[in-house]
Amino acid sequence: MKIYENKCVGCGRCHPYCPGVAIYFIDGISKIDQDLCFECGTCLRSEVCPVDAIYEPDDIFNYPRSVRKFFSDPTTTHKETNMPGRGTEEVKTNDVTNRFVKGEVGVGLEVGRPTVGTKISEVQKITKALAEEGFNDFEDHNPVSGLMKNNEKGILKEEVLDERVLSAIVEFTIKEEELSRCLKVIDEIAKNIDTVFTMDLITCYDQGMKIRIKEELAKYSFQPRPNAKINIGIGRKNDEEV
Amino acid sequence: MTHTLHREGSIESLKKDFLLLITPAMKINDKGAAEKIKKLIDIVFDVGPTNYGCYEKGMNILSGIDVEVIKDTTQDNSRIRCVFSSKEKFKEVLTRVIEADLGLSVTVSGLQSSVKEILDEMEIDPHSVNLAMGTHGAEEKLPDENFRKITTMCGHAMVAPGLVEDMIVKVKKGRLTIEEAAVKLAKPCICGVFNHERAALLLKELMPLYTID
Repeated sequence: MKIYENKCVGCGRCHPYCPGVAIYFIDGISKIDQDLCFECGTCLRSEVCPVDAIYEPDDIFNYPRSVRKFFSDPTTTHKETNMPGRGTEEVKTNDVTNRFVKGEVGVGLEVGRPTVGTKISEVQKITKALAEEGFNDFEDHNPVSGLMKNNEKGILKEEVLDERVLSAIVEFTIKEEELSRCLKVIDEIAKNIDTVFTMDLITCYDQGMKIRIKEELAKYSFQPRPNAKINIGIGRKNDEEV
Repeated sequence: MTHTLHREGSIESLKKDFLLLITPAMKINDKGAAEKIKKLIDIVFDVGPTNYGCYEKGMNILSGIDVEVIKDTTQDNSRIRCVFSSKEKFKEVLTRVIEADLGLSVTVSGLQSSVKEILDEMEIDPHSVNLAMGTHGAEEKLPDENFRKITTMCGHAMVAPGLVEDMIVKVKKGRLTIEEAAVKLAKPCICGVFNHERAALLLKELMPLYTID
């Protein structure tokens, strides 16, 4: 995002809206630090500028700058997922996709969340560390997969590594019996990255809303929060009879 | 992936915060989903959500988008994203969505204990769960913990911590009421999953903790 210097009156109203704290005053007007800007578009959508000085330059859709836009602005649609936002369907459609079945655990590490943001190079630190331990069954229908140069080794394309995004989700599937080892790897990753990540674990319920991995999780410092996202299981494939 | 997960705050503050997500699955049941979604939008608005978002327009109902505009812009890959503060309303909308039986996947997000109570009453045995396993890494970089209780209601991080601070200042100076500030905080969350009623309660709690120059 940018601000027309000849229009800006320096009122500062747009500053608090920026999740990246990228807007600053210089010579009495506001400017956007192009390195800090995530291209999320929040400042423009806020419509707080009294003189319409905020604008989206055409070149933000030029690769690799476009990576910022697609990973930070939920109004954009990724070609990898055909979904708005930076997310994937994960548990939301698991009742029809069976992306994660009993015996498997879906793992999601949302790098940069909440609000801190991340360089893609930090995302690569995670994908490489996971791949080195054999956790490289990365989800295909995920925007990060579009940045992969080598899935097996978790290596991302060099030209995107310096781009900053609000968050990017590393998503992969493991066997239930691998959970313990995987959590240890994630614990090590947490000590070695220069940003934050939130962790999600997706699992099928046993009858009676029993969490299959509950006992295994009890052995670790990673504990589930009291709130969760629950697929109630009423979806159907289109070709199934009503 | 998880924009309604990882809402921070006490259990007490999450008791009146229920999210409904209805999602067509790509290449599985998304063909012709737009018409089903429109029917479900009618149900949701008949019950009355606290907030509802429209990706296509980049707005939520608190920023002024009308339900007819939302329906007009609905496509096969559109999703329903909304939040309810009332448990009774949430039960009603869930019951009616299930009765409509349109075959799209339904996910609910909230306190596991509250959701279990509702689903048990409806005799629904849910399919799968996405557990929020916390925030890790360079935690010293995180924004103020109190601000995060509000900002994490937008999982896409469109609600900046600086905006919470700005709203606190404006309320303290008498330029906005707490309720007006909560609505302003909700506007950047285009998914409409930001619960401004919960935000108002949280802002009330925060007010005595911060001073202004």
